[in-house]
Amino acid sequence: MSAGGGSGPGGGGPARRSGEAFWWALFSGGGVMAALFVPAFVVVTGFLLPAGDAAVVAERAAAFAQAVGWWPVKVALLGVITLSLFHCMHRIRHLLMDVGLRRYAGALKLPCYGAALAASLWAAWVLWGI
Amino acid sequence: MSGQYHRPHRWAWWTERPGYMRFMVRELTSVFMAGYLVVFVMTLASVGGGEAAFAEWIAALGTPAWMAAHVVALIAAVWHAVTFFGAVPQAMPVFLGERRLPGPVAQIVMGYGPWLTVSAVIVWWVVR
Repeated sequence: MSAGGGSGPGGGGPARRSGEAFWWALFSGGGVMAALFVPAFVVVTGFLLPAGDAAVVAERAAAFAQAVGWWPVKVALLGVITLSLFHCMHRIRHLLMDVGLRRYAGALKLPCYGAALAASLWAAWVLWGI
Repeated sequence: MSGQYHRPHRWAWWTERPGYMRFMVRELTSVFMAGYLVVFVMTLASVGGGEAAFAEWIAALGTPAWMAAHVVALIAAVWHAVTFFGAVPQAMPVFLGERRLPGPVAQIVMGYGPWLTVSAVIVWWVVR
């Protein structure tokens, strides 16, 4: 059975479409972004922002709000969020295929990548409004 | 997908061997990260909602349920990073002339090092 090692991120079989390299770059780029940024994001929103006395909370909230309101940070965040979301949804699609939905591989594209696109557009809209 | 044959197997095939189980746990990290990214955008949305909305959202994040969710998200995100950067020598072998960069060196230079740097900058930015 090749399921353990063979059906990793790439999924099914040899490179057969010309766009394969592009999608692979996008996928691994998203994996890098998620690995570099998401753990720190979790530490910030889960433990640094809500912890401490009122003065500390207010100070950190102000620092966070100021940081995410700076346009270079907004652009970077949108890139990180979008790439990470597509990486995750690609993996989730393959996860679903690996637990018995392989015959719906094509049909799963729309909900998975559609959700990633919708969440990315939402993030863009949210960042625009800060 | 036409022309491809996939041998049918139990949906829980990944419970058969520890290696398959590790593969499944690694892939599952993406479910928690996707969920967390939604929470992160919600946080950004509360910033956009003004100071009061942001303060209210931060107070919510301080409740035990949200803290517990963040612990799960942190474990998932760290495990994603560890397994992702751990695969760097196999996924992106680096050659210096004829010599291949040793695995641990490649992992530190192209993975753990940048990860630590980015994380430190983000944490410093909020707590300074």
